[in-house]
Amino acid sequence: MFGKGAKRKLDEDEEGLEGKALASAVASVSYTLQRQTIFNISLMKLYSQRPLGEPSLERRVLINNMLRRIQDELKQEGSLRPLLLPPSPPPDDPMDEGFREAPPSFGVLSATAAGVLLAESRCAEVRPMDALPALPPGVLVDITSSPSSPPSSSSPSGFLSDLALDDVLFADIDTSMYDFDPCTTAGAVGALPPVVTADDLLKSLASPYSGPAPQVSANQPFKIDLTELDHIMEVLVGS
Amino acid sequence: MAGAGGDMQWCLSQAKGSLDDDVTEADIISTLEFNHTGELLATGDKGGRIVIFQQEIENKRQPQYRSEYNVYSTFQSHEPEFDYLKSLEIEEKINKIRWIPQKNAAHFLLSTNDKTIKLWKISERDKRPEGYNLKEEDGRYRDPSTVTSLRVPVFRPMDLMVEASPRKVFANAHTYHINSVSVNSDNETYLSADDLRINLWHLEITDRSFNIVDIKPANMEELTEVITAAEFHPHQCNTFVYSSSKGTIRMCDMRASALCDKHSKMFEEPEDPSNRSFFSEIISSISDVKFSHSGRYMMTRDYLSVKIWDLNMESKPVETYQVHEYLRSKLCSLYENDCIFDKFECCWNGNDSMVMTGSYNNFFRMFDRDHRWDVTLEASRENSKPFQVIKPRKVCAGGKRKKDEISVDSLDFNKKILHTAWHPQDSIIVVATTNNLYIFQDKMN
Repeated sequence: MFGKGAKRKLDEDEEGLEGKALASAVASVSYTLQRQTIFNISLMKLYSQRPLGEPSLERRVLINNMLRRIQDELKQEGSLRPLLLPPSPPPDDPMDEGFREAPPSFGVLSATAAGVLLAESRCAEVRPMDALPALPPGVLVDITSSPSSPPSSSSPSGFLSDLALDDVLFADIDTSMYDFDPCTTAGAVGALPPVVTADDLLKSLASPYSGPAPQVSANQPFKIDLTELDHIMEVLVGS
Repeated sequence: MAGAGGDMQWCLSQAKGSLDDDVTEADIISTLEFNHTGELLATGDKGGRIVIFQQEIENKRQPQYRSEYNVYSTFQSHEPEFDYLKSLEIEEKINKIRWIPQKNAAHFLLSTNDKTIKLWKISERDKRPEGYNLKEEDGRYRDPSTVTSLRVPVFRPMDLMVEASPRKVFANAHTYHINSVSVNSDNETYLSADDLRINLWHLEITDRSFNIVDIKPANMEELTEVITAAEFHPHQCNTFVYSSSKGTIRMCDMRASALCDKHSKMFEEPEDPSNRSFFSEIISSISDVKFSHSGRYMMTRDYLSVKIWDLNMESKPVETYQVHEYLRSKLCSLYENDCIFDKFECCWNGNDSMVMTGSYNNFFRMFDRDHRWDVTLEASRENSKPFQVIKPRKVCAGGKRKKDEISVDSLDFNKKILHTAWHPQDSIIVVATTNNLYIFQDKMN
């Protein structure tokens, strides 16, 4: 487990602990944002177009391990639900000698969308993972074959509106959106709110998909309001 | 060998390579290796060429002599290839050069790219036959009717010519990219290691090799660890080590079984919890492993440090030297720009009292093990005049920057020193920047 800040609990006695809670909230938000940024960077690294030569296996393995660790951590925290999976990267070796990065067993739709969708709020209630259909890795889910319908939502307050999003998520989606080429992605999601960055380190990183990122105020939870959600949905259904 | 590192005064002896800031990709030095006497220095580059320099010593009898390395031989070792099955290019970049201990007048070395290892013979020719009976001097055959007397050709001196010829090609044994080659102390066998496998070869036999380590999982999606370097023990011909991307070093004994998947020792230092971060695994990946000349210790290089291990103690290294600890707070940026994957090498001096490794901004670091002393030096033409002692450099990690210090944010991460070499006997070091070779000599020789 990575060292991380204390989780902020809603029912914690706030009297006289406000300062402490704030500090730990800052730390946890910062940790979350850094984790998200690293996750996005890792995806970009793995899925960007490679030149003629074969990329280094060690590098791919290390990046993949990074993604898996973050994924496991998010799963353990229970705030993540399985989303649609990107198609597997093209096989490098017809004789199966190639290392194909096992796509995260929760999918991501696009790096920016992921940034928005996965940014978790500490206010969000934990959603039980097993209420959701388990998706096999490396497979693009077609809703027509989806075994169970999206769960009815007891939606966490202040976070994604599950019902609407679920409908979209399990809809048949044009796979061209899974191209992680920053040029096309940036064009498509230009209307989306940019990924927020928190600490100095993250500020210095150029986000390939967005303009300058607004500074998040430390004690503001990640609220995605419905208009933003509409944007995302438009992008997803490729309209 | 000179005394304590603190007494050493390094001077730039020679700088070789283009003065341009514009670097030709093919000229980028990719490997560096002294032969066993230090008389020859081989460099390999991204264009598949090998250049061998020879040491010429002036005034050797005097206490302070100067030695100069001049080009001895240049040849094209590997050519780019295309793997039609995978539709991928195979780079001609020379990953490693290792010299075979010398047995006769000729020199032999192994050079490898990602897929193929070659044995090269470098020999001198300083005589040639003259006075053929049936041929003119230029090689044309004489008209037989004009031959009226018999004469026997005689060897006459000629200008020295150094020839390199490929004697053996060891191909088709590696599916993944070869990262290491190591000649065994028996002088008959050698190992080659790629990301997932290590093979054992006989120097005379090219059509067969034995697989001695295989860490490929049945399901490639379960792959989480790769082999990063491997080396034979300098004296025990049955022992070798290999390092991994998870920061472990495994020592294997070839007498134990044909397939050395079970290690006889595993060296790993438990992680310091206070330093844990997202990047802990990546920075623990070992980029180089080198046995000491004595065979008692081995040195490993990971992203931020150099560690010396006693072969008798697996639980932790006996010494740890921080190369550029100031980068620890910059790991996220270094991950983003891929610098965190840079593979730095390290080397011992001739009597194992000092070790050296490279860093960024054309800095390199030297550590004196006996006197607990270290120094940062810079390989640059602007900052060093020949024969002038070079000044130590200091990086300011934060806070007030003193005069002559350079701040972390001003470091040039494109100027990296990945390859360094220390003469096996003399106080001479060679440091490769992107496309230049710097040779430093200790003035107090």
